[in-house]
Amino acid sequence: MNWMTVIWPMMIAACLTLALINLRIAMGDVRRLPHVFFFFSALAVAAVTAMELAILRAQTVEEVNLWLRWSSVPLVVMVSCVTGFVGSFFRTGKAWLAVSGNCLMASAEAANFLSDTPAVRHATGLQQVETFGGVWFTKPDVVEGPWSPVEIAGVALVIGFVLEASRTLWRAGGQKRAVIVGGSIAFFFLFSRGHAIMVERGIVQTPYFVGFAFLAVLVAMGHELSDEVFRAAQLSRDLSESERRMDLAAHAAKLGFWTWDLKSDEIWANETARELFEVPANEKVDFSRFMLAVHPEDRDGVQKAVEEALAGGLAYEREYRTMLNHAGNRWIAARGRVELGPGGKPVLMRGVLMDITAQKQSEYELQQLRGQLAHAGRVSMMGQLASALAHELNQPLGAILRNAEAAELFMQADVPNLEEVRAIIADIRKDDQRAGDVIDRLRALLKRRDIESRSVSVVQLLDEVLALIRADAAARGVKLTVSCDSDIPSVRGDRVHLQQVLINLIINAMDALSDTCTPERKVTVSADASKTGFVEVTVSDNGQGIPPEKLQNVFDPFFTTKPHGMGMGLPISRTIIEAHGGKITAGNHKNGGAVFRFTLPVDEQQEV
Amino acid sequence: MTNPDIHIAVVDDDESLCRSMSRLLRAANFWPTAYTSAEDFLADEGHSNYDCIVLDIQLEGMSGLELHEKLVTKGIDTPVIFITAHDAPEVRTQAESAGCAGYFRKTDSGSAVLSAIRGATSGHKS
Repeated sequence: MNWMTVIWPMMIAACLTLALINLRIAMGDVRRLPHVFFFFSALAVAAVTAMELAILRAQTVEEVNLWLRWSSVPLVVMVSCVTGFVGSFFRTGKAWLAVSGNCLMASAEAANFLSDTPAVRHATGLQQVETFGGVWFTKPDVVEGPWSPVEIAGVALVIGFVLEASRTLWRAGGQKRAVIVGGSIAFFFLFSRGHAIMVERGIVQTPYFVGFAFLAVLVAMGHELSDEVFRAAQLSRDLSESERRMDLAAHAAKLGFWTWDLKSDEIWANETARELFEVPANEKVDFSRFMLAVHPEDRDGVQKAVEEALAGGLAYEREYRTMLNHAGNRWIAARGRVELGPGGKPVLMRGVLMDITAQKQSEYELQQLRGQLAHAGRVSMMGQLASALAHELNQPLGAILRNAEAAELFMQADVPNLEEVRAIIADIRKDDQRAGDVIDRLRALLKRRDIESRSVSVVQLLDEVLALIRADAAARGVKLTVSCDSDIPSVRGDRVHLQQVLINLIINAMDALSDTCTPERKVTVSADASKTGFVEVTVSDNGQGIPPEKLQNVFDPFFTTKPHGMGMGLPISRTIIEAHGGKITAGNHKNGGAVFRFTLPVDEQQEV
Repeated sequence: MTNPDIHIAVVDDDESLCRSMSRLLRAANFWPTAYTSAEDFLADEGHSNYDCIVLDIQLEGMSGLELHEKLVTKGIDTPVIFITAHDAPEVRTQAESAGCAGYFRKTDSGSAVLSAIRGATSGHKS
């Protein structure tokens, strides 16, 4: 036993250990190619080292030649794997250099392996040499063959490839890696080949150190690779840390997470999501189990939203109610996204959900309040209109009375004029209908109700408003004109609330005219659809206009210029218009008089 | 009871009221002619030949009171009976101070209006 028989086996063991470690990493890592190349390189180095040891201890020339022949295999593997490693690890390099170098190397080594005559290296005799420590070893007398230059050229090209790749990497910012990996590969390749030549030519009296040089290359490669592994480990630590933070945040925000594996129809859900659906931690969840917790009335909607997302929309967003044993009905807002597999087919859906019951509740209450406020506004508005509306009712009632009296007189005649009486009855019927219509309109305005969204014809809306307000305008001596194209598109909204806004604006306009000495008091209402997607309604008067400093306050609650005004009409109008998705503005006409404008979105379904 | 030659103008912008008033007058044997605005009435060349005018106060355009004023300034003294759907004290005072043969609400009984017309026309005729 001497140092030689200890060092070489230790090197082999080290190579094998490195090989196994990297094989294990290669099997678990996403970026596995460098590890695979490393594994084979390490195996090859182990084999080269073992052959070196065999030569050092060989007794016959045949034995040495056998090992020299077989050394071709691991050498080819080693060089090609180092080339592959550099290419895959640096992600750069000239392919032609790698391929030509390896081809030359492989053909030279193939010749060495197959040929019986000397091709690259061949032993002709043996010497026993003593080296330090008094250790004797076998040193073969090696002659080069015709393929030797080919092999050297191959190695040179491979070194060229490594240097070129390192230079590119250096320029791309990977200086450290370029120096450690690229530099050591080039240096030790040169060293091992050069040293082997010197040994073979008898210039130096040492054993082959090819294994050592290769091991050094391996160490350099392994160092950089392990850096990668460390980084991955750090990344995974960071990841689990951020996952914990996310969990904490999700918990604090009461966010439920879910992932639906489409293939197995299995839904993973975090604790919050399970709590929201009252599903115990150990119960398996699939889509039908999820749907079971959804309120029956909302199931179709959810199903449709999911199907649309899967069919290509990818994004899923839905608000729905749950129906649970303990919590009862809760509002849930869910958002998610479909993830596609390599073939573009949906593989899973991932998303979050949140309990929005409180928000929905306050939204509902706000809407109720708005409705009540609007109703209060309507009632107070009706108060202002009451006397004029009495007039509106008095017309048909008076006509009915006159007709009835006329009928009585006709019937007293000797020959009653039945033709007249028949016409009278028809007129009474008509006037009765008229009175009924007035009362219906009043009732609609006075009824407490929620805002509903329907298609509303603008022409009809203006007609109805005109019917309600005409009498008041006549009593005040105001000329009320309505202009509106008959083909103006319908809008989407609540008829009664829109009537309220219009009546309110018209009453305001007429109020503004009451103190003026304008000879001809005029209020004009017009509607046009010149803005795309919107109908704009304008109410203007020819009064004094709004003082510029007060323009910005007119929509503020309790802001009023009237002695008995509440200052609620315009704020309520604004609330109503904004709830319809429109805007209301106030301004002055250049010829004097105030102008109020509001927009309403066109009902897209009606617009053809 | 016949009033064969008494011509009455009915001015009211409500068509149905115009028609029913005319009908009542016809049933009572008067000769009614209906106008739906003060302007229409004035445009009629024979507007000064009526024995009595049944005039609505709130008309679109020229009001009943304005029409009355106009007739007075033109020296036409045809008795006028005002009818209103919008009964307010200030309107009544205005009407009465303008000098009229009667003031009625639209819902007041037709016989009251008829007797006022009779009163006004008998005085006028005589």
